[in-house]
Amino acid sequence: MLSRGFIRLLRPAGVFQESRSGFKSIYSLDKIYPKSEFDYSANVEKGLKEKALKSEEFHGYIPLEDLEISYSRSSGPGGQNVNKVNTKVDIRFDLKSVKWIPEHLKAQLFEKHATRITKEGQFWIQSEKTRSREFNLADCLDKIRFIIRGLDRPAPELSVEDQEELAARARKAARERLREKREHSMKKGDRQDNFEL
Amino acid sequence: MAGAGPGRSVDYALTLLRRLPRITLGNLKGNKEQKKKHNYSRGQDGGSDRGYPEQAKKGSQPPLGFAGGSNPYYTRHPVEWYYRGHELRRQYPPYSLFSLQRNIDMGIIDPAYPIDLVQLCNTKLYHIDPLQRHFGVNLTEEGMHMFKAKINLEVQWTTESVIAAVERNGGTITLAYFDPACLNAMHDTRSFFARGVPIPRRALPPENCLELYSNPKMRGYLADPAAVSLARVELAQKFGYNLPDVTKDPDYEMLIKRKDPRQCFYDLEPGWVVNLKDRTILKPADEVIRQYYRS
Repeated sequence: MLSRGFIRLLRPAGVFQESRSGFKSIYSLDKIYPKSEFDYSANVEKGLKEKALKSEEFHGYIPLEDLEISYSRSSGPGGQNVNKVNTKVDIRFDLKSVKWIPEHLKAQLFEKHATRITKEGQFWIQSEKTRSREFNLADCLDKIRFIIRGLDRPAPELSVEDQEELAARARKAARERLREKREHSMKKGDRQDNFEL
Repeated sequence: MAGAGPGRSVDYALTLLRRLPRITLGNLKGNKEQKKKHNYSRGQDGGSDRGYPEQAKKGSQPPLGFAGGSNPYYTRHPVEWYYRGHELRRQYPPYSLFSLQRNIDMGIIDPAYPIDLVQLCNTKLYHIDPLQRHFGVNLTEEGMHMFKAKINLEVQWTTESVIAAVERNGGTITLAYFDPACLNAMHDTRSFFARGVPIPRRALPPENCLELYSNPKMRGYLADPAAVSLARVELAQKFGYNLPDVTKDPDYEMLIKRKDPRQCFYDLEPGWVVNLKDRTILKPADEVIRQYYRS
């Protein structure tokens, strides 16, 4: 490793004083973004979590400790990889006790997505969309957020023409169904030998 | 400009302008073409033209490029515009996370120091050729499921899933641009230092990739630090992993080390001349030159 060898060769004091204190050109980040600093600590995430727990709307932050994530093997084609690698992701969380979903949305979830809720009251979601466990986990989380954000959205309003069109289509479909049923009935009837004089 | 241009044509033109009289109707030559006679083809054979000369303009003509029936020149040599300019586009030869993990496990790359293009080329297992429009390393996601190293990484192209794989293990990753002059220095450092030329001052990215290298979501080296810190958390939320606290890491100083946008090598400033043979570094003393390298 050449640059590492460098640091060893040029150990004599004073050589790296300038660069150890940091070479700064006019394009160094503290000059382009004067008040901005990197924050590699847990404070950024803590801030988001607090916002999410206090928010009256669904913020989007999901604390991972609330989720029970399990992995299993996926279905479908894929040879040795799909047979051996646990890429299917299964997430459950107790819907009543989580604090990052507002109460009014929880009620809607129980109503509209009852099929996703188990007897124990756990919200359950799965994904085996991709061949990779990481992407399937991302897909699960994306689905959770998508479902929750879709709750408060009002149903799209149809214009009068659209409503009439839909009603006309339903009527036509019913007419067709009955016509085919009659025809089929007659076909079967014609095969029978119940001619009476 | 006087004297500019081929020969004396500009001077001559200006001289004419000074000497000759103003153009008036009395000065202009007539247009003989306008008064030309039409030569109608007459005689026993009727001529080889089409009836009368005006027909060339009025009558139906064959389509442009028509070559009398044989394959026209413009269709003989097909042109496909799909790859137009391919020889000018930037290329980033791939290097997978799998290879990186393997080289770290085998001791070829030392994770105790920041890993950048220089380190990868020094392994002699990865090569770039700046003359072939290679602009650096493209870190691919193959092997992201088994990537476990905690490193400070600097690459030129990558995807979100790779960034997630690196940060999930408590490492840091930056996307940085290097211009061809710098790449020449970096891809073969030994021969560069043997040349005895100063370390080049890195150029800023060209317009078409400036946005990428300023994008906090891609961890661009010119991105807003606060936005990068937020993007780290958002990515952890997207992929569903707990983002480790890097400040509590014993290698914190190494993990947050970054190059200045004008710097090619860690701990070496642009303008310095590195003499490997005598084990010295020559630094510019002149203030103007020092300011140049810092500007």
